[in-house]
Amino acid sequence: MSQPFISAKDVHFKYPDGTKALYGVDLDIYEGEIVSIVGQNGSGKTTLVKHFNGLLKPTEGDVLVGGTSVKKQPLGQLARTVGYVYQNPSLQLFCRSVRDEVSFGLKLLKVPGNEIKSTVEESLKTVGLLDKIDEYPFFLTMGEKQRVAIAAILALKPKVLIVDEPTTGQDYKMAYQFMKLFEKLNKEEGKTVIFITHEMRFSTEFAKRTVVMSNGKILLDGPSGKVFTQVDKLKEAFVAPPQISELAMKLNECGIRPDILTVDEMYQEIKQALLKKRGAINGTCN
Amino acid sequence: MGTGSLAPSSSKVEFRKTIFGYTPKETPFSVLHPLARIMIVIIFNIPFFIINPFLNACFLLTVLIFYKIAGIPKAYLLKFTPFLFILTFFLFLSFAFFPSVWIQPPYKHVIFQFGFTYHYENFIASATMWVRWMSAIFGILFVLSIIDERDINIALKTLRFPYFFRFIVATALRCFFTFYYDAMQIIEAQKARGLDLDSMGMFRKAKYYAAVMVPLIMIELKKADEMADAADSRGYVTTFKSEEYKRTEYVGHDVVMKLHDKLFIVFAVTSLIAVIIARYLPGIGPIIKWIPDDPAFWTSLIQRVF
Amino acid sequence: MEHVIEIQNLSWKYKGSEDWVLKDISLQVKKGEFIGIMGQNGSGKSTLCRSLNGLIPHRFNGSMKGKVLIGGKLDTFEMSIADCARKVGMVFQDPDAQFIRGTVEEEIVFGAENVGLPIKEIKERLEWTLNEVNLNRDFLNKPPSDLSGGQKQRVAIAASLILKPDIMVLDEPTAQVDPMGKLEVFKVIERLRKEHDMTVILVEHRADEILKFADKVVLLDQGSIVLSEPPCQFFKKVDVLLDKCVYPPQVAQLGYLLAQDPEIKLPAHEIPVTVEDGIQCLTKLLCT
Repeated sequence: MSQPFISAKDVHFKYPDGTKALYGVDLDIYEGEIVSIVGQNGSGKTTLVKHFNGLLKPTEGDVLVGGTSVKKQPLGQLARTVGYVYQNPSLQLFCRSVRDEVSFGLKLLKVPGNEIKSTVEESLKTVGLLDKIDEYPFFLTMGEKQRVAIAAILALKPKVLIVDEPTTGQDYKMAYQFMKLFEKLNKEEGKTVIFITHEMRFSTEFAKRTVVMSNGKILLDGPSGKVFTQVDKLKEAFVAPPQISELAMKLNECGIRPDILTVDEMYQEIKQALLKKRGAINGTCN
Repeated sequence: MGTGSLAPSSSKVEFRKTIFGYTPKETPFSVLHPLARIMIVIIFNIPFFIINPFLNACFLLTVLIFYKIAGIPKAYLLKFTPFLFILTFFLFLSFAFFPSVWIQPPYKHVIFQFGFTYHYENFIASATMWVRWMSAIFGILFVLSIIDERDINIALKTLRFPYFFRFIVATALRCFFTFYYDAMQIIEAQKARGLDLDSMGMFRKAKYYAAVMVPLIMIELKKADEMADAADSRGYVTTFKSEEYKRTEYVGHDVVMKLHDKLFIVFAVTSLIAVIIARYLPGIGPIIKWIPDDPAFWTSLIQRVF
Repeated sequence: MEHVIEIQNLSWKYKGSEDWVLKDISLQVKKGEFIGIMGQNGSGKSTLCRSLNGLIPHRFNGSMKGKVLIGGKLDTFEMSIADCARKVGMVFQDPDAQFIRGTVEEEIVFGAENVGLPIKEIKERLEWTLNEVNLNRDFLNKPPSDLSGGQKQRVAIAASLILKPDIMVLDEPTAQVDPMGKLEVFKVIERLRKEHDMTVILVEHRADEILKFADKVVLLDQGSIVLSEPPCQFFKKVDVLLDKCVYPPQVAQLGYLLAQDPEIKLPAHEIPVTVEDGIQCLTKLLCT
């Protein structure tokens, strides 16, 4: 196995006011993975991921990104490797046009003008907003603003994207649109995606690997299907598995495998089981 | 019974959030009505009418003792050290080049010469001004450490300010801290796209002020709108016609102005007036306006003491 | 029986906009009913909520057609927002933006002060609301920065509750709150329902709480009511819900796929909506 791209080694973190948020976290994230990190508020999820782009530095232990410690990399440089997408795009938008917004980070890094132009257009094309390139960001809808913020991060061509609760407060359509975008970036451009969520169905649908945190420690770490079968540990972390996982586990005795992740998978599994049993006879619940 | 405990003694001091920060709830100053507490500011601004540095030093010493009595954490004062350094620097700088109205030039006693001449007179004038400012600043900060937003509301109510005005003041205070937290969040969010404001020098930071101001204003405007919705939804009516619209003042209804409060306020105001008048009286006037403009004063003082 | 809320052919257009945000909405709500409102962003859910307590038409400029009657006789068009506040309590989405005062105590009594209740009564009501929202007296002096999202929203509920309204409208109260806070808030809503027979209108994206509490669920799409059914019927209509961008429970989605499958043909009325239903149905299906 190749070297992990992001590596947290025995990370402890204490806030200036004394509260300790992380108690010795070890985590390796490999290039090209999609990982979801779950756990209740206060479990340390956001604190941990903020170490990956240098916003926070460990009080003990170390975090390596691309082989080098975050303590030795300036924030500007880390922003080029690890992009952090915020929940609220209004925190970042301030320019007069979408074009300026997306090129801002590149101008800071003194990237030459013609390269900026092509990068900006490419990023906006990826998020599907090329037609709004000269619009005033504040007149866009919430979903469009979020996409502009993402394009601004993508313009820096990071290898890793950290997404903090992309689906909170969104309706189903927008939430899925965003998750599909990150999935596309992972599949087509090989970007590593780490996302934090409270809705487990996103973990099961989009993340091959799930990390469950509780009280500043990692409780579970593995393939999403397997993680959501560990009911006791999940209870400890106050995490509830999505309905399909719950259903799959309870139907184990009827021959359904317990590590099913999505509705479609379950449907296929049930269909197989039924057709195996009954051939072509119609079945009903009575 | 009788087993010694390693735990600290029963003084579990309860803290509360004041304008300045978290300070002990019960202090000797808690017996004062909020308006009386605010009058303490007047007392510590009296030094602006006194020149005598020894008299002013007494005020400064008193306010520092007040801090000790009220149990205000030293950490808060330390936060202000950079600001105080800058103020001190400018005070001494301002009198370095220009003569003070208190001591008529020509100045005789030179301390050093470095391109320009720095006289003892410049120094003592600066020092005298410094003591006044320190007394006033510490006085104001002290009062801010023993009152919270409710107290301001109650004090303004006692002064008969209409509710409409007090509501604006209270809301402004409540939002002030939100501004700060939101600004911190924005600064962090901008770091994520490569704009690291914390590690920039002052001038470079100023260049990117829009990156913080614009999102801040947009977010706060939206919040203001939503707050207005919430206020309306709870029956708030903005009106100048207070007769039509009777409002109960539950908050602070149990805080009443007592005799000692009235006496204290009278004391504060009369002290100020007394000092102003005393400046023109023979005998006391010169003492108030006296300044040790001759270094010989200090040498003779030291000789007398030792 | 008199309806506690009656919306008659309500249409609303914001000033400066060409489109009608609400199009001819009619809805009757009986006392003690719990109505869930679902729909994608922009379908008019928040606008509908604002029409219930008078914010529309009094605080927002626009054109209104139709009526909203509270308690059978009070027309929101005639009443002021302050009068509506005594009948309809409102909780908004952002926990921070609806906390207008400096401490919890001031926040909760604000409404009672506004209507001019006597001090003794305010004191009693304050104790009562704190109890209803499971907040301890220690919270009274805390500023909003010391509270979690769930606590802030409970304070918001208390701040509306102090006026003893008959109706509580909650516009996505837990959208910006963590799961723990969500539990706290819904525990309070459940209590209000059980102990006070409170009429509740809840706007939500998630099906879980709606399934648990609602008597009827309404689906809004582009300003019109497209569906209005009890939850167990509502969530069976998976195709309609997905089309209008509402996420049905995964169990129902599964049931729908099984119903659509020509070889399995699960009857539509047997599509499960809760995990328990799902287990029952699928066990019968698989283990018979």
